[in-house]
Amino acid sequence: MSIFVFYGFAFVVSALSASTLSIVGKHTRARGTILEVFFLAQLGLFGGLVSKIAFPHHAPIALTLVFVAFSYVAGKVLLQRARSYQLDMDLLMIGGYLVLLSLQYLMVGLFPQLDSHMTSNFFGSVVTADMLECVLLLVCYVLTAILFRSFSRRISRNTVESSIFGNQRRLDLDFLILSFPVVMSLYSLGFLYTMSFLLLPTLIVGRLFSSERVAAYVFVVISCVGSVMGLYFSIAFESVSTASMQVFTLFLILVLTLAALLSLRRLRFKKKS
Amino acid sequence: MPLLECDKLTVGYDSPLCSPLSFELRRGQILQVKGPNGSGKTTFLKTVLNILEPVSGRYHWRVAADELSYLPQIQNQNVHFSYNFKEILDLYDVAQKARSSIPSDLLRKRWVDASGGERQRLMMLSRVSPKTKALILDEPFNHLDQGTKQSLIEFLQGLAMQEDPLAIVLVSHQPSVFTGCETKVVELAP
Repeated sequence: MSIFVFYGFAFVVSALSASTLSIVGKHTRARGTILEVFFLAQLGLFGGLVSKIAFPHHAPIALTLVFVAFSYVAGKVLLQRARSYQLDMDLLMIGGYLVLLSLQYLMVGLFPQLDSHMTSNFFGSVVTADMLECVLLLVCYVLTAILFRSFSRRISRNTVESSIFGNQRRLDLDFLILSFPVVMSLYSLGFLYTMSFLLLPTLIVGRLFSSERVAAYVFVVISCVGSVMGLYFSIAFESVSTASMQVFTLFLILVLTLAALLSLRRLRFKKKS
Repeated sequence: MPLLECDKLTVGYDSPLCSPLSFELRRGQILQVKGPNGSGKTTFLKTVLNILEPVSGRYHWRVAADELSYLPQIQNQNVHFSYNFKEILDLYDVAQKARSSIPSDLLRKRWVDASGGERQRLMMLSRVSPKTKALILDEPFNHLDQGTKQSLIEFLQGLAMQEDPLAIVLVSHQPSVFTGCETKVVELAP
């Protein structure tokens, strides 16, 4: 029991990160920018590794975060430029993702001390995050929730417009609000956790609700439960990886929800006919 | 007083795409801009929306930026959200009178379950705020059957004939017949 008390803070961070990422993911998918986020996330992690080379002995959190955030935003600017040349953006982002991944492995070959950073970049979790990171994450998610509340009409309207008219959103306030929790999560919780909680809820049950408001509530509850239960299992069964367990638990809950929603629909359809 | 005046306006990128256009648009009038593919309809729109510079001639709007609404073509039929009509309308400042034209059962309908005509009508409504004086529509009847197109024409006629009438610019490659309101046709020709 005491070990669960020890990880109490981690449970709170898990719940908040999962719910925030699922809402950000909902907007990201509707705007058609999931691939863009994959590419930018990889670029952000690349920037984080560069900071570890530039400051090998002591890279404070703030400095590494600046490198990650700068790479992420610079990537967005580059993509905006590339769009104006009417390139095939999907292929460009997939290609870019692969090149960046290769580059990171090359860097690890040249600078073996980066190996642990690279591993935590990909498979890090709330358990590997230190106290300062957890506090920063909490502040980030609370701030994101406040910003979302304040600008919810604007963000939702832009999501609808991007989705229906295919507008490519520029580097604007929306991008900054939606990117803030992603960058923070990438840095502290790793690529696997961040991208999975961003993508899986909207991918599996995204369009099955009677309204977007209902979808948002369900996303928050499911992601929260998936992340917290996953963390609980990974603590109870010490040999399993935390992030992988959280992602797998989320996936199972989503599949069960999908099955329940489809059964409900079928029942309603039968009643009507 | 006209809301839009065009005087020998030619549009294009380096060279003119069409012969010079001269017309005026007042409140309550519908201006149809027609022409085959490549005749410069989209370039005309970009020009009067101040995205492109005219090749020659001039145009002048007598409306503030927030009094001019533009509805682009619906590009994506396969969206990834669950918004229903009421939720979408709540995101915009839709004039109450225009909003009340939507039946309550349609308000509960999700975008993904709606027909092309219902979607187009909702998006038209989203552009009618209490401040709107002029409405610009880009190919609003694309991929719609004749019956649906007719109901949207009647809806637009209503906007042009209401107590506080709108001026409407309609860019379309299909001819449309409006009755009861003043209609002007500009044919873009090379």
